[in-house]
Amino acid sequence: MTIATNNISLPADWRDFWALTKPRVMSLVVFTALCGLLAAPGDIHPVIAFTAILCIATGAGASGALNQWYEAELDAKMKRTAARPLPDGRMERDSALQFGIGLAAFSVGIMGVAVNWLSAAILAFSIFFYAVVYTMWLKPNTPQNIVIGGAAGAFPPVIGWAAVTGDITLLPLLMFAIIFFWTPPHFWALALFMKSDYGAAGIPMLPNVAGQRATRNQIFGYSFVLAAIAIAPSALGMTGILYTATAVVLNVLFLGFAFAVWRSETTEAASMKAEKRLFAFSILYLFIAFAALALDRMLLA
Amino acid sequence: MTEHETPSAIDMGPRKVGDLSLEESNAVRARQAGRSRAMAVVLFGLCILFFAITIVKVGVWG
Repeated sequence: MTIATNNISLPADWRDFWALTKPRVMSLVVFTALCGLLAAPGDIHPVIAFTAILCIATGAGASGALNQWYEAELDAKMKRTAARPLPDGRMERDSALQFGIGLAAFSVGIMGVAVNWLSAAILAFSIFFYAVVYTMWLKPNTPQNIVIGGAAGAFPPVIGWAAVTGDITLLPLLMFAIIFFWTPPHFWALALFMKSDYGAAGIPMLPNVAGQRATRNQIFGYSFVLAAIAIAPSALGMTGILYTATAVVLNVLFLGFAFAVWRSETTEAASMKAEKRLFAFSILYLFIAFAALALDRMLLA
Repeated sequence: MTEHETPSAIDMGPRKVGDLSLEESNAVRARQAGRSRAMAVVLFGLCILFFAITIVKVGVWG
């Protein structure tokens, strides 16, 4: 930020560094990681569990900072992101890069030393996947960006599980798959009513490239895949009645909201109520589904 | 530049901290103080965390 009428730059505020970590995204990451940690069999000392969650949160923050460093020019073109510290000119770009790399090294190093090196390795890979594979490669080049890139957000429960057990079994992979198949309908619902924003930045989101009808079809189709994956832990006998009942209700609702999006022919963002409802519900869906899964596993244990 | 032009009338490039007005200087110092306090909180938290991790790892409290 500059002081009016001169070219002296103020140092970035600590709140700007905090904003670089995308705190709202981090809250979902922390929650799913905690659920993975609680669902895992075995014991972990509370201090080590706290350290693992802190490292996962810090790793997510590093991913967010590196993402904002790379996308500063794109962010300036979108209303939703134009007020971020870099496009708003409140911070030097190099500071964001150094902050992101520092957080990444810190989170992976502490995870390895204090928890275990398997969870540290997955954490390192997830940061690399989000910052490089998704942000630099997929996002600007393919409308399938959030399908493949969704894997980056699906790692936290696997890392949480690995922090306790030191290995990866079928259930954490199913938790990974739930987030992986949840991401397309979640993001494409957002992309439908933010189409002009993404278009202005030249990001090839599905509604801009394939059109709204194709996007609505994809949302509805992925909702069935999500439902099948979400029921799988129950069908395979890994969870009890609590998760089973919750998953059935949540997925019936999700399919209902996705059906409304599929039926809609609205092209004006302002009147896209079904899309906004699905987007809002999808966030609630993930919180409730993972909370029920963790609680169910704790009760079974 | 002629003898009668003052340095402030032409582009001198980025100004130094010593060239700031009192108001500007206070704004920079306030920002630096905020960052220093945030860093102090982070470092203090890390000290506590590393101490706790060490105690757990060496098994003092089982």
